Amino acid sequence: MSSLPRRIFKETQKLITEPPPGISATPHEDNLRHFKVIITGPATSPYENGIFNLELFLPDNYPMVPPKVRFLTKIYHPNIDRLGRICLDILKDKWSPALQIRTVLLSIQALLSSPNPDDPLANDVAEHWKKDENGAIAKAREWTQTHAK
Amino acid sequence: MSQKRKNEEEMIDSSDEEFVEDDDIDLDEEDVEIDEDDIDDEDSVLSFDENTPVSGNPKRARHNEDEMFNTAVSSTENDYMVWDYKDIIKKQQVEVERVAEVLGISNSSARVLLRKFEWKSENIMNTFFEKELAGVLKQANITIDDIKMNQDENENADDDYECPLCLDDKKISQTTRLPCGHRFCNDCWRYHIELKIKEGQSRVMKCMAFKCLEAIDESVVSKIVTDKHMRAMYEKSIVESYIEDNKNIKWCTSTPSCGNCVQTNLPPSIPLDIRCYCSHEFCFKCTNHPHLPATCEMMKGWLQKSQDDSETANYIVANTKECPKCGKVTEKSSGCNHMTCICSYHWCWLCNGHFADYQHSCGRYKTPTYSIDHNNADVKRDESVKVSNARTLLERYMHYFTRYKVHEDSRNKEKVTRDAIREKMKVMATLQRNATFDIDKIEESTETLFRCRKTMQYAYVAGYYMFDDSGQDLTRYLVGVKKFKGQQKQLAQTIWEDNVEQLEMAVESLSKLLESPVEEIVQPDTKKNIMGSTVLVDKRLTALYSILNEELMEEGCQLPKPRPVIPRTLLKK
Ligand SMILES: [Zn+2]
Ligand SMILES: [Zn+2]
Ligand SMILES: [Zn+2]
Ligand SMILES: [Zn+2]
Ligand SMILES: [Zn+2]
Ligand SMILES: [Zn+2]
Repeated sequence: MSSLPRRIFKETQKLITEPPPGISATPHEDNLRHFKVIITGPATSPYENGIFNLELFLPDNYPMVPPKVRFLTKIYHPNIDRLGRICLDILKDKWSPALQIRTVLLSIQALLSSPNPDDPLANDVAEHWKKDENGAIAKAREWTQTHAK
Repeated sequence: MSQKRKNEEEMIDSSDEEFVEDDDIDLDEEDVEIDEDDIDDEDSVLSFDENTPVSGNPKRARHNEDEMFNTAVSSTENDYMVWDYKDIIKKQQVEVERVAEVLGISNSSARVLLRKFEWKSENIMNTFFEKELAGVLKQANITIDDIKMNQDENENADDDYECPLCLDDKKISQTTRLPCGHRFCNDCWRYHIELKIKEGQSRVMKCMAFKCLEAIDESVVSKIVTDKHMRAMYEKSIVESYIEDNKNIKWCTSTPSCGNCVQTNLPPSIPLDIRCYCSHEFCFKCTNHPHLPATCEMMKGWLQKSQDDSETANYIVANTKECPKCGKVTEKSSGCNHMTCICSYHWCWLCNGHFADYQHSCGRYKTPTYSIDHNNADVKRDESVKVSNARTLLERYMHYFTRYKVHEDSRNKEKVTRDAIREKMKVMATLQRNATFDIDKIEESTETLFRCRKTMQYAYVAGYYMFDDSGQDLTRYLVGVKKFKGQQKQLAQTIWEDNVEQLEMAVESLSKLLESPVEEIVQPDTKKNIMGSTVLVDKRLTALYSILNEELMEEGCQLPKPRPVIPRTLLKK
């Protein structure tokens, strides 16, 4: 679709000039559909002060199909698996072309603040979370300190 | 009813009269008796209405809005209709537009409602007139947010508009707004819709805005999507979803599929003989071969049973029998059960009885009485009762099975006879004035014969299950059959068997007549007899179904319809 790059261009421009708090997204120089993303762990979450690296890719059909996002930094979270894949409805069936990179990243940030062990991607982590929430939170904090520097 | 259809029917009607007048058929003449009282059994308490309307042929659907409106609400005129692929798309669109117009909502909202109501638009209308839109929404369990009023906007087509998706600047005329208020450019819509079609998701296409549940209407799709292949894929999925949602419509079950759909105007739980325009026949309810007047449940049990007992059955259903008088082996080579031996003895294939004057009948089952050895009665009684019970069960079954099989065989043989007649008559048509007309009449008669044979065949299945008195548990096969007890049951059985018998006699005499050499068939007298006999058979058939419909079945049972025949002579005019 010839008209789409304009949207990507505009979205990118806005992400750089007015970045959402705690989020940065920069396209690779050789591929403008490929973004290096950094999310700062939200305050009052076990991920506080962590620096999380993610990669975001806009498929050819974007925005008709959702962007592909994954964590590069190891993270202990019931909705994020060992490969960094994220369980988030708007990245799957609830996607709407009206959503943007910005809204996706804000949603991921929100997911860090409120993990949802009832809709898990990483089953063992979710089990841990449900059986022993304090223990799980402690482990998430520990991982943040070790990996998200 | 469209004017065209009406005319056709009038043409057919008048042709009948014309024929009767021309040939001056006297229906009370000699062996062909048409006597109204004859059908009404004097002893019967159960009765039927001679004037029960017999609805017409399966109706060819037409692209006429008025007619579609009528067919959507009226269900008495035709039991079913056959639609082709294009018909069904138009029909669906007409239903959507009608509901949208009456309720004052968008087409896409009307479509959502119709799906919720399983496409019973008359139910939506009735609810709407009683309880207004709020009542309809409540019944469909939809909140007011899901249904947006159809509002017209006053926007200038030349205004600039930035599409919120691609962020390109467009003119309003290059964009499309859904009733939910969300507007995007046509390029974005096209991309989105085509992607969904390719993914096979076109049945549930939603607005592109986040969390908006507004369905994308067909009118939008046809405006946006221009690619022929895409449109075809879309139409196919729409038709499929329509038929899936709509319990009153099924695909014709022919293989390979003819692509036609059949719509029943009766509750879909009633078995109904369907004949598609591709000439394939099936039962609407169970989609197997048509089997009226037996029910789908009876048929299931029956076919299972005949498989289990096939060895015994095959033995009985052999094609040769010895003449009861002289003992010569006689082969049953035609459909008629009235056998004539070379010794000139007339006998009945079914019971070996003497066949006199076409008045012979043996369709009712009589429980045989076995002589039990009375001397040892006290000691051996239990044993012999057990043996005779098993024997009675088998004999009873064989009684019905033999008759079932015989009518089936007759049907096949009569088809051969019919083809032979048709061929010969074509030859004669070149020699005789009016011959084409005769062919049509004879075709109608053979058609009637086939229908009755089929009815006879399955009437024995119905009789086997409905009037079982052996105490076996047949409840699961009696779904939809009225419950009778004691005397009531006996009475019902008597009436049923009387009617089956009457029909059977009429069928055999028609079959015999149609087996006459063609040279004879074209003679005015034979022709007259055949026509009279056909009328009689038709009457008997209608009578039998009236009994079923009004007295025996809970939900009724529909008389199978003849194939629509439009006389070729009339078409030529
Ligand atoms: Zn919308
Ligand atoms: Zn656009
Ligand atoms: Zn068909
Ligand atoms: Zn059936
Ligand atoms: Zn003989
Ligand atoms: Zn007999």
